[in-house]
Amino acid sequence: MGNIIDINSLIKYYGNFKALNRVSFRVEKGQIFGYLGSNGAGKTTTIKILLGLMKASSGEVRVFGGDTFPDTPNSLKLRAAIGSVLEFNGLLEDRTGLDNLIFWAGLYNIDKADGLVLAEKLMDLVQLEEWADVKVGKYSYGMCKRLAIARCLISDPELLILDEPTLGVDPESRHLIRELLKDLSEKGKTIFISSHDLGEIQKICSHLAIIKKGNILFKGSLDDLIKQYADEREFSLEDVYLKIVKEE
Amino acid sequence: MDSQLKVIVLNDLNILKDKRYLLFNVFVVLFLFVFKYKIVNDMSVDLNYLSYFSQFIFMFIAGFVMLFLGIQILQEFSTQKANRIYEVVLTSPISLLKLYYSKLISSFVLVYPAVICAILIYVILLNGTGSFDIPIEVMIMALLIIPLYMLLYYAFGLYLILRFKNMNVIQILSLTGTGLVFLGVYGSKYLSIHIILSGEHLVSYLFLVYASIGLIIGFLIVFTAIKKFNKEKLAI
Repeated sequence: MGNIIDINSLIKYYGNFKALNRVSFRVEKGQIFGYLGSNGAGKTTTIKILLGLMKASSGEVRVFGGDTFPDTPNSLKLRAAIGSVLEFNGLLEDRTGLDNLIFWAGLYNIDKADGLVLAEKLMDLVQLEEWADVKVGKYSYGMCKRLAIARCLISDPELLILDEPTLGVDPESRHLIRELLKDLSEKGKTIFISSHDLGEIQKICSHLAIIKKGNILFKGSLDDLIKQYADEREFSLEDVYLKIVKEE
Repeated sequence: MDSQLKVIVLNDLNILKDKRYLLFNVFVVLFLFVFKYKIVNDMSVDLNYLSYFSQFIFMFIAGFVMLFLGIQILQEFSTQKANRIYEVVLTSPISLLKLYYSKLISSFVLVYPAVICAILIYVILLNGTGSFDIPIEVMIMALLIIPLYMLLYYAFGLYLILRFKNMNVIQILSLTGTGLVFLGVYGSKYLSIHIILSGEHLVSYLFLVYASIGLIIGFLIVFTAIKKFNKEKLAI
């Protein structure tokens, strides 16, 4: 299977601070890839580089075989095939949920009529249909997260990049998001998900990488992780994660 | 118009149409100008001076309306940046340059109709007093050159908003803008007295040429700066 994301020896500096140190991993088509690490480990920096919001200091970052940074016709084309949810939602609080999705559809050159149909469908999908005409400023945090996920699906992207999608979300929304991601994976979408919610990652991811202070400590499948670090009968990702991180 | 650009402009129009206090500000500015003109008119000063004074106000209404509204629109854009909306928008297939130009067009499209309305109301009121006598040079200055200078101010303001993380930049920008306008009004007071004494027009064609050259240089500087703008500054 082809690589959707291919990162080789990625280094990123913020001034003199080295945020990422020779990070390398691959994500293949159809995988749900978990990217684990504590706060400040370098997860969001990696995601921003993948999305073309930042430039790598050195190394190679390929998404669908091309560069997403800087803004060129080719990188914009690549970005059109990526749907993303960042740590912050970045929603238009003065506009309704439906308007937010229609606005987003417009950015992907989807015309208003088609955008409206898609937006209504997605509001149903994330169970916000009753809130469609309410301004986002009145939404709860969990509802905003669901809307942000609906927004990232508007262009029917091949790759989803999600930064902490279940952080601070109520159990009901978390369950909904988890089931949605599983469905999308079954439909052949590739999902890259960063989190420190280990239980969530264990439930949905087939492959993962663990990062600490900008260094990758483990990369591979969940099965490899079990073989290497745990007893399959009583496998807990949290225990394994702590073991790996403390070993370092 | 490019469809992404249109989407951003329409979205801004929709957000700002609900903020009715913006319209209220236009009326406050207009009221102040009309009130000032009325005082001068009632004082029955020299007719020549009155004519210059009406031209002077005609010219500066556009600048003041655009400054008052513009600062608040830039403030709104600054809040959008603080809410990290631009960062999210830039993950979609839109370039930073297109986002910048969309916002610039939005600010102008939002403000210019208010300028036209303010000027029209002023002209109607002047006609009522029978003292409407505005030369073509002053009209060009009021309807084209001054609005374009304000557009330059928006272009510079938007650059600062996208470039700097510190949100105080918008406060500095608004204070600078207000200071510049007052300086302009104060400085031009002497200029207008000089012109009245010499019997020349308030605005000559030569003045328009110089103003246009200044405008072109200003836009070249801002657009050169924005072309070198690194979107990483927005995302860190």
